[in-house]
Amino acid sequence: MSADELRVVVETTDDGVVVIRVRGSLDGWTGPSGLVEALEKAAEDGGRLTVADLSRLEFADSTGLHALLNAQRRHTEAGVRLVLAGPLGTGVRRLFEVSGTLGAFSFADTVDAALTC
Amino acid sequence: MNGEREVLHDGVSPADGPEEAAATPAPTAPSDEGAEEPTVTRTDLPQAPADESGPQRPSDENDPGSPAGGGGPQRPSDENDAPEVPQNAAAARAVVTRLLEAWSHGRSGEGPAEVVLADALLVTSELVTNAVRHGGGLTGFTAEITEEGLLLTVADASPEAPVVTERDPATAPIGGYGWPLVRRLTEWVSVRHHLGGKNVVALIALV
Repeated sequence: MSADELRVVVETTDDGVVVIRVRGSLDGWTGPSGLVEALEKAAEDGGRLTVADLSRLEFADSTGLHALLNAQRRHTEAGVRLVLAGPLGTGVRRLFEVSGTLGAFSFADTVDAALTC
Repeated sequence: MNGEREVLHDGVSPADGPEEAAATPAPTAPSDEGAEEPTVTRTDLPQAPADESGPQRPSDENDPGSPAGGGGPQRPSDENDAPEVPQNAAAARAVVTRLLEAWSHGRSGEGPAEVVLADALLVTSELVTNAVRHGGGLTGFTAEITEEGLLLTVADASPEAPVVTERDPATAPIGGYGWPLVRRLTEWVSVRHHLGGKNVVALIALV
């Protein structure tokens, strides 16, 4: 696969945790295909925690931000926690910083940290 | 290094482009105004070979004006030696990455500061994506280093000005983030109309 593509892998545990691992690039040209659906399903299924693993996300632009904000809202409505797990690459971190949306999400340094917090 | 560009974290502050906030384009763009020739030089393109031009295209769009997969789509009335139009946003980002790396190595022997590169790639991605999603197709892309910084010129096939909806990201939610990000990360953005569409020109400070 090329780093340009978006790859989304979903892992579900018995105890109501969904881990969505995101790799590659998430931009408006290619679209957030796969991620939106995975996040939506996680919210709908009503588990206790969704972890979006962004540690291998190499790039994201406002389309990615849009998808994540939307997912955050849907999770809140559904009463499911959503945690974004790093460590974040510089580009992804900047997206949250520059857009002023750091406060809109719960972040964890790693997936493991997200699972235990 | 990147001193004066710390305009982060504050909400949507429309006036963060220092001097010429010519950014916000007029709501309706006169498409037929006489002087359609952009004043910005579009020469000297850092045309790096688009080697990894993966044939990916926006999967969910049937935009009539989208650049056709293969060769160079129709360009507006500019030069003929214009660089190849990137086939997707990743290809445009790759052009900018190579340009900044070459520039930075030539200057300091090191790669570009991560934040500078990240910001430049974000602006690039937003602008070319906008051209495809709302501008009738990407018809040209150039990136060049000038004395003032990184100058990006993104041409699309629509004479319509970019749709600008600025919202407070903290409260209201969805959509319209791209343009505010571009505004925040650039010194200025201008929109220049010509017969076949428009050029969106953005300057990103590098030091």
